[in-house]
Amino acid sequence: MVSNFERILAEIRKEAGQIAPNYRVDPDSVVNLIMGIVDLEDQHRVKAQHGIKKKIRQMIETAAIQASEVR
Amino acid sequence: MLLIRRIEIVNFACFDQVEIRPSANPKRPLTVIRAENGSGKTTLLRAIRWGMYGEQGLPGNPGSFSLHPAAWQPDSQGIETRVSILFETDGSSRLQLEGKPTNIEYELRRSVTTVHREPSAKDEPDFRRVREEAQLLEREPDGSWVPNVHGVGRVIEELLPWSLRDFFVMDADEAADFVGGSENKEIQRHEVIGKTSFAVRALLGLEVFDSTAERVASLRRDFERDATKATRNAELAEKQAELDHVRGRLDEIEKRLERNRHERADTDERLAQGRGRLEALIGSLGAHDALRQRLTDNEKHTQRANEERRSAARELSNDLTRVEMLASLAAREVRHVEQLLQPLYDDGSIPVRHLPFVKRLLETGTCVCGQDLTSASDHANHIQEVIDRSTEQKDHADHLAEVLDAATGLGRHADGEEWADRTDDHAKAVAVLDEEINNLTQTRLDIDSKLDDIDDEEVENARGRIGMLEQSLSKIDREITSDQEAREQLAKDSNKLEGDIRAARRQEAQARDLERYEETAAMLVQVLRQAYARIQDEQVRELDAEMNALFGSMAANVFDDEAVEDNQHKATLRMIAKVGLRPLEDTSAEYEIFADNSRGRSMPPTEINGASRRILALSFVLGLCKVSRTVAPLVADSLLNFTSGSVRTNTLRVTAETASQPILLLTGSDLESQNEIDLVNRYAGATYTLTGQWQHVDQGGDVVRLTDNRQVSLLCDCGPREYCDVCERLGQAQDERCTRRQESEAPR
Ligand SMILES: [Zn+2]
Ligand SMILES: [Zn+2]
Repeated sequence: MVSNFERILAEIRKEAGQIAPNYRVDPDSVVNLIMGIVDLEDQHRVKAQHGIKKKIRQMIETAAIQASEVR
Repeated sequence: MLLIRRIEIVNFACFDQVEIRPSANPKRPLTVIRAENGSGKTTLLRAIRWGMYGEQGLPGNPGSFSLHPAAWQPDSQGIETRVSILFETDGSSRLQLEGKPTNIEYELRRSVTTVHREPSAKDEPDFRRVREEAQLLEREPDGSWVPNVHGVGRVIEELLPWSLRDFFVMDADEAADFVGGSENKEIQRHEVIGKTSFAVRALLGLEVFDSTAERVASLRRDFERDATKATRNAELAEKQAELDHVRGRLDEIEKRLERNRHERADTDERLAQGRGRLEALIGSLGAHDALRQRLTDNEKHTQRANEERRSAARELSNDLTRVEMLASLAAREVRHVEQLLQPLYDDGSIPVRHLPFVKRLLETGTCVCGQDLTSASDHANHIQEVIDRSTEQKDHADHLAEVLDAATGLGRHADGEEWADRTDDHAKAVAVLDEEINNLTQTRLDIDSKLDDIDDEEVENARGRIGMLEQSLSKIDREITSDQEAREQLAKDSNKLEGDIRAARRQEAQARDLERYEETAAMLVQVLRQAYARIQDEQVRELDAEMNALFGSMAANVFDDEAVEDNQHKATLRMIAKVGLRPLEDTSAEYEIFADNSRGRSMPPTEINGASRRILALSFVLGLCKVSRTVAPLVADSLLNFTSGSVRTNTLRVTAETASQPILLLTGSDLESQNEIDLVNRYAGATYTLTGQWQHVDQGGDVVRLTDNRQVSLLCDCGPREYCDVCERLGQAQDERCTRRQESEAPR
């Protein structure tokens, strides 16, 4: 039911733009990752998604590995 | 986003069959359903809620709440109630962000059949509902309808959460729950806060934000914990030290094994030598033993020979009488004598038989050779000499002759030969035995001399040495065996440790990975929390301001609301200086709607009058939708109750201007003033009028015509200042503000 994803996205972009460089990570990939997780979480709120925690864990792991490869 | 396109209700309580097509025109978003009190407004709202949520959408105990038409007489065939809601959504807002066309049309169809049942208790209903079915159809791009894979519950819950039912399909009284209840009910502050907070958090996305942040934070903790665990499990140095120790011991054991193997070989060699020597010794010892055996045998043989000799002698003696024995004993001597005497006899050495002849010759005086022997002649002398000599031998010769005679006689005796032979045999046997005994004695002497050559002490020594060598060899063997076992164990230990070390290395690598994940998660949490804080802060502030602005717009120019105010003890709109939403002090996740007076004092909702509460609730609903950009219908009943004058006009105006799809159920008195009519004319994209047949003039009501003989509520398209055959009420025909609609346009 979340309609203001746009707004959320904007805030996340802003924060990621500031925080991601401290971690030497590309802000855009952080934004994509977060929005992916938020989207999953939004679906989960409506109906429990099976294995959501594992899914999100894998997303973070993949992102971390990709980020370290880019470095 | 969700907009209702059509609502169709069949056989639902007082509705026979009605169809509403709410406006979806953004310029004229308002849908007005004019309905007098008691003409089916509440039922209409219930039908919509039932359509959306099923039995749980019904008030009270759903089982005893009847859905079927009042006119229906319970029978076994039953009657089917149906509600169909056609709506359009943009699917996922996220997909929309990504620029994908996502508008989807759905048709939600819910139906249930009511059948008769015999009540078992007094207050039990005489019906029950069977075969409740809900189906969600989705329109495909080619226009066909297919069942949605996620099902009704999921999609409806996503679009219109049950917990927000009062938010989108509200009875104004229920909407007032957001500010602490209505006139008839007070609800607990924590419930109000819970409901309000849920709506805020859900629509502003704070809920999803918060749960996302919480989940990522929890994952971060998991990563941290796993990393710590992996690091702890690694303990690489400790394991390496252990491995080094094991390898050291393994080396030691290898060396000792090597040493022992050499020693073993040496000992083996020495043992072989010792055994060789012993074997040599034991070999002669064997001879020794054989010799001893032979000696024993020899003794036995000698004994036997002696016995045989004795027995041979005994046999001989048994064979003979004393005489015979003597004879036999003498036989040999006799023969011997005979043999000795015979030649003597033959050559005349024994002249025993010639002496008388010679004597007679002397007596006769003549020798055989003719010579005179009477005178003392030489010849006679000679003969005399012979006689004299022979006479000297005569006794002797006679004896010899007798002996020869006896021997010859014996030799001629029949048994003599036999005796001699037998004696010979026995003598031979004895001689053989004597020979044997002789040999045995000689052998025994040999053996004794050989036995003297063997050194018993040397054998003992050799045996002792071999024993010691064997002991030391078995000690070495035991050591080797134990070392081999130890080596095997150590090799196992070493393998295990190597495995452990490999695992530890992997664990360490994993720990590094986990630390990276944790770092990433930490970063995500940081981004989420800060974005969340900002959104929460800003959006709640925005909402707070928006609520105040909307409230202000609706309560502007308040002069006349006191006219309808029935409770003078409660705070009125005029006393409210500021409304809004604020986070609770002790927690940032909960919010409370507040209303402050001009002195900045917060007024408890229970102290605010009904109109103010409604407007406060409405400003919350409208403000929240606006700030959260939620496009959704607002189906509201009794929204303008307790309001009048400019407040009523402003409330209608603000709702029409702010809500995405306001579907308002209004009474004639709500629409009495021209201001409201103007607003309807300006904003309404659809209008309807609901008419209860039971309000016919014959039954004490003001409905002019009885269109349907049943107790049903009929819907026509008439606007606030229109009437038709279905909805005409007393006085409308005379009222010049009202217009009659053509019959062809009604009823529906
Ligand atoms: Zn003579
Ligand atoms: Zn009408």
